[in-house]
Amino acid sequence: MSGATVIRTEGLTKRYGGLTAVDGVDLEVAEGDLFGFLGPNGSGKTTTVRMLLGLVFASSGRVEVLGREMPARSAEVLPRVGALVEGPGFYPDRSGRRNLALIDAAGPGGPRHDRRSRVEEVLERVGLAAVGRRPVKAYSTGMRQRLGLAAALLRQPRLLVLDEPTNGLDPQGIREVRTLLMELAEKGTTVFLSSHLLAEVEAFCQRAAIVHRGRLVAQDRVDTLLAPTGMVWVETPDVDQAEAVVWGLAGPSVVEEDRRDGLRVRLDGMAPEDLNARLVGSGVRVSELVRERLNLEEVFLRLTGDTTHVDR
Amino acid sequence: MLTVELSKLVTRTRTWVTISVLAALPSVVAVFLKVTGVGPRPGEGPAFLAEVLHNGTLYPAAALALILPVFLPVAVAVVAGDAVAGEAAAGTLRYLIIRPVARSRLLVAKLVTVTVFVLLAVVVVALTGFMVGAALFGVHPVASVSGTSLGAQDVTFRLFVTVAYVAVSMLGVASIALFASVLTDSPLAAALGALAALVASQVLDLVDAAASVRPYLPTHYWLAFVDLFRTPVLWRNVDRGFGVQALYIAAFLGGAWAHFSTKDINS
Repeated sequence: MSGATVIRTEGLTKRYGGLTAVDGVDLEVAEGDLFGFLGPNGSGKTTTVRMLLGLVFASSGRVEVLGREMPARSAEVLPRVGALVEGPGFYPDRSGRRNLALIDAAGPGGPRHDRRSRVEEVLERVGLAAVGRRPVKAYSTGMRQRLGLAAALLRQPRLLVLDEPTNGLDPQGIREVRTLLMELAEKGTTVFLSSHLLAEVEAFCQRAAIVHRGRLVAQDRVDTLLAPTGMVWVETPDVDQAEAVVWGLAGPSVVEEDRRDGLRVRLDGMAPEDLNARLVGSGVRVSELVRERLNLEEVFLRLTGDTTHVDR
Repeated sequence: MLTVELSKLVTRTRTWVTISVLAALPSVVAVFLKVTGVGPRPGEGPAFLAEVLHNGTLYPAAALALILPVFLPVAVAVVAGDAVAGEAAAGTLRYLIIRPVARSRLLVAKLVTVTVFVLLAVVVVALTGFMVGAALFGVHPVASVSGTSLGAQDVTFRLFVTVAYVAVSMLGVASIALFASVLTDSPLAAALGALAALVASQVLDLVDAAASVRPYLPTHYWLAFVDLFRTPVLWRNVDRGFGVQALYIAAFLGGAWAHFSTKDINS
């Protein structure tokens, strides 16, 4: 994590006729990051990813990947980038091995002499080593997804751009992909993971940007985005007594009191351990005291007022 | 990229099925001619068919004349229409572009591959035509369409020019289909679009009121290679045919390149 910037966009904008799909997005992704790019379907994620890779041309703004201007220098940038964009794409009548060999042979930076061993290695990494010779059209969705990941890994990229990488995978497959990405990130590969799945970003990423209707609404460390909210939940059989204690304190206040098993308290500067000491000191039996954290869904709701298109 | 494209072409079943079917039709016609002995009267029906009944030497030209109006252009339009749109439909186009394969390079590789297919198809049909003709009707000295007799060397040269002429005519078709192929993500739409252009051209060719545009229609000079078998060779229409095709190839390939190099790949 040398801190070099791997992806930088400035005012990135894409208009299709009167529709602005991506609107002034400024991204900054540092080397070694596991970066989540989160937003509902149709929020401009994929268009942004396509602009990063030179598939779609920006209407205005700048894109820099691995320190070089895109799409002007894509010939230098893209050989060191692996990507999975909107699902894998393969020739359905050919085997997975043949597909990987074909895509490897199609461009620069994939020497022929070790092609076979590189193909076997990535198949092994994604758990497809025993797949045999059947054509890709006979693969399950999860297998295709794995093969797409294998293709992205084929030339040991410095940057991986993955769009919904766990799509179609079972829980076991998701865990495997997660382990794989963690390993890669540890070795210094930067991972840019675009997803509409909050759980995916929450589980995989250290940093995240949240995009909504083409605009960036937040960009920060995931644990900052999910920081404690300044509230605690106090579970106690002595609700009335606890309430009286809290009202007697300078600062904290009871936010929610209509439940019989506990209270929600806004701390307002008081440390949770101090609150606990005061409660217990006053004879309140505390069975549980928890600092409240938002999950990404709530962050998303707070930032955009809209969770209708996001799935947990 | 080019090696990959060529290997995809030759390892694809469709390529060989198409070429076999193209070669089979003239062979079937030859068998019917041999068995029934009923040929069109001289000057009527498909070119050369009347002549080949007694002499198989010109059967390659007859075979090409049989598949030229419909069969061959359909095959070429399907292959060229599939070139880019097929990749888009399979979802492989975006992975080729980010591999990265430069867009102009991808287009050139596709064009060369389609050209190889056209040459392969025309040459296979001509060779099959020669073999079938020789086997069924025998090889005899050829009298030209004009009535004088032609030497073996002379006939071979004229057949070579015929093959080249038909191939260039089909490259015109391929250019139109390739242009359609970068416009759409549907290989079917691209192939049918190119065929629609050819049908339109053939319809206009028949309308006397449209006589002024006739010499510029892509299909107008297709069968002009018949003139290669006159003595002396009547080059005028053949030359014009080459010229018109060159114009179409330049215009549509230029258009395909201009569009593809600035196109947003959303497939």
